[in-house]
Amino acid sequence: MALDSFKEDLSNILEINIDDLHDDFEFDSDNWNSLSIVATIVAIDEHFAIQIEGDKLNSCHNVLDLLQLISYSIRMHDKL
Amino acid sequence: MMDNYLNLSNKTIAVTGASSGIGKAAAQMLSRFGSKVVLISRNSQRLKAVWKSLAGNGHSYYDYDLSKCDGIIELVKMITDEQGPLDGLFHAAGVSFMSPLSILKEKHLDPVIDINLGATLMLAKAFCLKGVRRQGDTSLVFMSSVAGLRGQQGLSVYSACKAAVDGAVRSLAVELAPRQIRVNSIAAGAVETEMHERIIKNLSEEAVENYREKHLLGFGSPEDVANAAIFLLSVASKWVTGTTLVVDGGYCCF
Repeated sequence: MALDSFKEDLSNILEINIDDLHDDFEFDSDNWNSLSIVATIVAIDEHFAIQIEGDKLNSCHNVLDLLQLISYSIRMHDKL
Repeated sequence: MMDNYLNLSNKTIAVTGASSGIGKAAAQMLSRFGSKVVLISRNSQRLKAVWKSLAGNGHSYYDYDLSKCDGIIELVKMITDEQGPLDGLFHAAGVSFMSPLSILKEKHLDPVIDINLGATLMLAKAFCLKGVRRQGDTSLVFMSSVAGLRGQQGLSVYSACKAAVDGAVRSLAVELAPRQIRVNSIAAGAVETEMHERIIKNLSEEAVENYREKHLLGFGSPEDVANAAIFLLSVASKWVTGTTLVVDGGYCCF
């Protein structure tokens, strides 16, 4: 549920149709910039209640990288 | 006379958001200037700690979430029933809210508007009620932000709220001047509070440095803003109403 809601937000952030949001969707300088990263930080916080630093998001190259980063961060957060 | 123009002894001043940041700094400073301080915040544990840290005697604290605007009138009546009439009120409570338009939802709006604008108006209304304020020069001071004066990515809702506070201050000043109530706001730049820390920890080092450089004098401290609040609450500002005092380390020079 949280993941679905997050993906809906992410498709809005990337300005694409949610049906086009596949794991291999590549980020580039047009769709993955300072504003979209800030929006993603806010969306991750809202849907997963965790904070991920902008620098880490900036290193993601595609949707799969991002989802794996979120998954890893949730596991680390739960261990605390 | 001029050497004690900031003397606030025998004044009763209410401070919202008093458990941390700017509100806490203002409350502590007011107590050192001789005021009887009424602390208001939703965090009772931290509130009590601030209450214990105040200089002098006669201070009090009230645990209340100011986003619940419909209870503010009753809260202020209760405070003045127990503590006597107020000489001034500093509304420092507020929430920042960053959300680029792409993920903004209607449900996000009310919580931000309620605490930042709704509470401002209801506190002003409460302050005007019979028995709530002392006769003579009184002062309302509301926290605003440079976000109400300058654009910034992702801050449209927060900016709108703070610009609305500044607008309300002008009209309230006109409406309340006949009752000797001065009304002003403080547009603060980035101040190193817990709220500020939460915001910048999500930014890259480069972004934080760029943000800092826009503040010609660096990021501010809570005391830098509290100083301005003391001025606006004191007789030193008796000819100042309806203004937004910019306290931003030079941020708005650009």
